[in-house]
Amino acid sequence: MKLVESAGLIATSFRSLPPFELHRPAGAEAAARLAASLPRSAYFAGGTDLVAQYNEGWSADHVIDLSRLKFLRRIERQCDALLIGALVTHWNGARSRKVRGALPGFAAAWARIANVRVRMAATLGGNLMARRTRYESPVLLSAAGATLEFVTAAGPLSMPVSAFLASGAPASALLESVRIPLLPGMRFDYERSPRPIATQALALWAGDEGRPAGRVALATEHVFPRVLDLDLSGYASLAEVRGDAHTIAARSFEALPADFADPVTGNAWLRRAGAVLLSRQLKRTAW
Amino acid sequence: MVSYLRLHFTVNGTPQALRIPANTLLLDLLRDRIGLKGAKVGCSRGVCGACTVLVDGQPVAGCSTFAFQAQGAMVETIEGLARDGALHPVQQAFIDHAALQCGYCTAGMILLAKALLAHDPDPDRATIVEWLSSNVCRCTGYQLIVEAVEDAARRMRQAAQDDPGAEA
Amino acid sequence: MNSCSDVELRVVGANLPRKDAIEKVTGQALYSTEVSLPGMLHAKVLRSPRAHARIRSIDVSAAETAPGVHAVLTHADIPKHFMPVYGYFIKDQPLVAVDHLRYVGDIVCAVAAESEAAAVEALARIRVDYEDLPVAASIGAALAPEAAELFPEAPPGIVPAYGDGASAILRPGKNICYQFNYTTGPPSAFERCDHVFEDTFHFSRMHHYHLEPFVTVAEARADRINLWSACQNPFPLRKELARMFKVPENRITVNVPFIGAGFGAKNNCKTEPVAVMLAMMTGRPVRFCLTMEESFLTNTQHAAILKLRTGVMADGRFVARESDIWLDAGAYSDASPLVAEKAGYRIPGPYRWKHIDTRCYCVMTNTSPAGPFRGFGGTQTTWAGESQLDMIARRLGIDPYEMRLKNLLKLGEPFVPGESGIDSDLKEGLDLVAREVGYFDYRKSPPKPKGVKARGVGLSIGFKDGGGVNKPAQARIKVSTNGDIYLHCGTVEIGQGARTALAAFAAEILCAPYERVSLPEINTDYLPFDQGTNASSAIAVMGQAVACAADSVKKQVLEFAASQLECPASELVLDNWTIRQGEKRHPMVPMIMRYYGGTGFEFTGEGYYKAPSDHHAPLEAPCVFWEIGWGGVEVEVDTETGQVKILRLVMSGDTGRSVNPLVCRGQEDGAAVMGIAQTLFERMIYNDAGQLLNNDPLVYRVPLAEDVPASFRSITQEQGHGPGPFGAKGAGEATILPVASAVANAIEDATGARITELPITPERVLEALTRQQAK
Ligand SMILES: Cc1cc2nc3c(=O)[nH]c(=O)nc-3n(C[C@H](O)[C@H](O)[C@H](O)COP(=O)(O)OP(=O)(O)OC[C@H]3O[C@@H](n4cnc5c(N)ncnc54)[C@H](O)[C@@H]3O)c2cc1C
Ligand code: FES
Ligand code: FES
Repeated sequence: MKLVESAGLIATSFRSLPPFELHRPAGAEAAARLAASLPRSAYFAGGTDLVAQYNEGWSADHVIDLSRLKFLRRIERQCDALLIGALVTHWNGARSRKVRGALPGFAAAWARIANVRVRMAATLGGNLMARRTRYESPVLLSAAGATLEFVTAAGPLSMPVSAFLASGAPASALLESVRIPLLPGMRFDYERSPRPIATQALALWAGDEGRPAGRVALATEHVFPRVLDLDLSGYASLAEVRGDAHTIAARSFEALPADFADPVTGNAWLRRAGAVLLSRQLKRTAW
Repeated sequence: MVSYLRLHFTVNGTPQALRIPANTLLLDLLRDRIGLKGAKVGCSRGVCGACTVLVDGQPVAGCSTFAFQAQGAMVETIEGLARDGALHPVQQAFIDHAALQCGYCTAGMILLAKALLAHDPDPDRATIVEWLSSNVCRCTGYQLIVEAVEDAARRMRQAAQDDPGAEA
Repeated sequence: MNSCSDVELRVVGANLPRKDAIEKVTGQALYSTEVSLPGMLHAKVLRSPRAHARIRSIDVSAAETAPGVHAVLTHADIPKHFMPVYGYFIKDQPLVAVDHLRYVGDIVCAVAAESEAAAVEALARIRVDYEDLPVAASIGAALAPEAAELFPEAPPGIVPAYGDGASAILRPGKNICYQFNYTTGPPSAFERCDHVFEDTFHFSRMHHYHLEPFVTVAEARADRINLWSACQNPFPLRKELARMFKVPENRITVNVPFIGAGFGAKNNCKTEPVAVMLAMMTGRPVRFCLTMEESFLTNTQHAAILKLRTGVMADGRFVARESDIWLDAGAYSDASPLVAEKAGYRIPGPYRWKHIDTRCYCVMTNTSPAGPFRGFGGTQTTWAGESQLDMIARRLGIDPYEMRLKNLLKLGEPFVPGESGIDSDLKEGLDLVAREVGYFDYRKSPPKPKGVKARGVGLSIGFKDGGGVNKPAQARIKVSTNGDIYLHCGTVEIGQGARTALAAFAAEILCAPYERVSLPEINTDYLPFDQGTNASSAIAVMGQAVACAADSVKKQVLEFAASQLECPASELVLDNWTIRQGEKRHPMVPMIMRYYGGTGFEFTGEGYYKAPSDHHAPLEAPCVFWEIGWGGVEVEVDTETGQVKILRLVMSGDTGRSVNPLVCRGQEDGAAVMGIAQTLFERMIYNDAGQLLNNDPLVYRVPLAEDVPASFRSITQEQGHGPGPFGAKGAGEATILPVASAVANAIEDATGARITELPITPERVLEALTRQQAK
């Protein structure tokens, strides 16, 4: 529904969409320049979130269809990072050999987003750029410590996912790809069973001198992910982490702010159940 | 500032060339211009799947797909499934298992099942449930639909065995 | 009646294809959303963004001149002699707001334009100045001393006649539009009880989430109004519109194409009044189709608070129950008084009592109007009653199954004085689900807790009366010269398979192939009267009218044949449009042509049914049939996170006789799955400001195929005691009733912790476990 302050609520949908002009640029820079030059424009990837935005009352004069930007569909494994193009769909991304090879836990988590029909159309970039609390790429990519690579009219721009979630990207920036650092021994786990109440993603890797390091990202349907760094400094190996999972989880969740809660679920449960689930995640991931 | 485009695509095998405003939804094009009303208008939000059609074999929600996205594609709707008066095996299985009630989700569910069986002719129950979880059926509780798809898969595999030349 | 029953049934009980199957699987079935008339305009409405407000001023001039606009409708545009308010017992909902807005979504004004886009553009140009009023977004807030009245002046309303023990009052208190009371037996019964327990239960509300939106196409031509609408009760709708628009009923035609489900929502005025008014104003056909977001703002289930005071003997026998039930009626009364009747009346459950005293209040709040919803008050009362039964059993140290047995009504025993007898063997059903879910094995050897996971089983018996109150139904059957059968009845095909079942009755009784029966589309001009497709009444009420019509035709045919063959009709048997006389066969067609000539003839039979009125029955007519849903659940509770997993779920209803077993199973599966969702996650979430937080088809979560427990089974019983043709009863609501309480009971069995508020979220379970451990 669209809220017009001076009038009231009006039920809009794609069907009541005013006409727009369609643009189909062939390159990322061209797309970013176009978007910067056109007022009230929107990038169109899979469209599965844009339809919601229209139902919420937003509309566009210009739609910039990204489907010709084949480059944004690539997945690349570099020596220290996994690069995923913004137009990679949930379906293709989660099934990609490169993703599964580099970070099987991440691929498995990605495979569970949405449903088959939506996965085939929806893109990672759209999921992120929609910047909605209930979408899952923010929590997955926060745990993974990803960086977002944009093309803007003023040139390239990269930004940690946390900064993007906090304040958004510059207007008309085009997300080109998502860079997930592949730290030594990196592994990934995702606890989705309480969704939509909450989900949490865990990344573990070998940090300084090969000592275990990790972080967990926790999000609810209404709140953006909160990242908690695990203090694993006292542990020499993953086996030790696993053995002490309960204590580590409990300690980590002490850092969860008391105001981390939403209209549906209170802080007490998020804290208590979150710690329990983290301890289980550590047990199944730290091997 | 209306922008138009010329759209070439096939619907249920028939080539179409139409001039359409860019903001035309695939669902409206099919229903209002081409007159195929089998895909339904449900949530208009990409959630329920009552508007599901197949674009190059892939199930998409017609309510959240613009017609321009179907440029050059092969679109299939529920109306194109029966051939020469013979129902598609998935359609027949839906009848035999009473896998429909109000029928509003039925076209979408059948097309979803067709896409699944093209992708995986021998799906286990979990895979069927996973695919069917793309669409909402508020009436049936899903059990009879799952059973119908299991049965359709069996029948189609049997038919393929009996007549290896026939298309699935 | 049922003159075929001496021979083996051919149609009834067979899994014949649904009458609507071919159309629906090929995409040819037409719904109201497909109706399109030449020159048709599109309506859109402006809705209140405030939960409670007064309109200080409204300026629609810029909308009137917007491109493509044909009419702008505000309250001021309605002719003075119309009565532009609607509702069931209480006419409180305005066609468009007068100046008082009572919930987010209340209709401020409407526009008819060339397209929806043009209508949206025009609405955005309207200027409204709102003055906020204090908001009461929940039962508690509306009853608080400082709450503002939603209706400072009393809207017109009626209280129907009630029988023994039942009564009702309009506006008994602030923000209460209706109060239903029922009492029987002496209050002194409480004094003899060994224990009296008082417990309070909270019930959250769902939305119907029917996939086909609310939609109407209306045209007002010459002196006629024609409409095509997704409406479950076209005849009462016609009456309501005739009253509102001051038009004779025979100048209004309501056509109902297939309906894309309703679950109760599509009763009475929804999109119709605005569409008709705009059609009158523009002289053009007008289509008014809501989005799903608007559906959330149109009709919902009733949230409720139920306080039960139950007196028992130490051995677990029920003695007396006093209850207060507050239903969240939302901003307009809609069907709330009817739901209150049922919630108040059903609170005893299927048990024997010495005394019952119940009050049910419809509380007006600044939220979406609540109305009929599958279960109709029975879902709320089963949640509370069946939960409390287990709580009491545990307090007394009695097994909940045993406690049920001690109190269950026997087959044929009246529900309460003046009522009809229970038409299911309640123990038979309970034993079935208890056995299937492994209840007795659990009792013999309870499973050892597996780490932090605790397992338990729970039972519940959902209970409601079925068939509607005092509901008449009429049907007509015509048989053409060739023996083709027309079944005319007003039962709307909303997915439940009613037309399939009714056709089966006709075919069975006329000893004709099922394929020969056809049912025309619903049209209030041609079809005999029907009160509405609700209360699971198609089989038990309309079914009897159809059987009666079929018997009438058959009698005429046999008498005609007897006169032609010059023999007594009793010697003749009708069999597939041939008359059998001993070994001899006489085809009907030549006989008809011989007598009526080459142009042929049609035999027509009329049928009628209504449960006879009776002042001793509390609701003025005894209940037609009892709709019972038995449930057994096995759960696993994660005691560290509060997450609940359903390991086994068995739900069962008694159809008396399944006219089409697969269709019956579909009803029971569907109702049970709705129940699972209500139990575990599905609900509308309002904040204190009266804003619906999950007003989005995605964020408002409904069950998908993956949400159905892998072990789920619904088992249809055919106990054979139903009042309908061939012993059939209604189906479709029974199995939504027992799910929530069975799950809560199983959780208590597993952990000792009790949940009294829906939905059963992990947070609530963990809180209950914490309370339990603190004890
Ligand atoms: C039924 C249903 C179920 C769903 N379930 C889930 C779920 O379980 N978990 C979950 O996480 N999500 C879920 N989603 C959301 C879904 O994953 C997102 O809608 C999807 O990922 C968005 O991608 P898209 O390509 O369709 O984006 P679009 O709709 O095309 O775009 C979304 C937004 O991002 C912008 N945008 C797109 N691409 C770029 C780019 N490259 N650069 C800059 N801006 C861009 C667009 O302008 C728009 O504002 C669900 C959606 C539906 C309809
Ligand atoms: S109508 Fe398209 S998904 Fe619901
Ligand atoms: S049959 Fe009604 S929604 Fe599926």
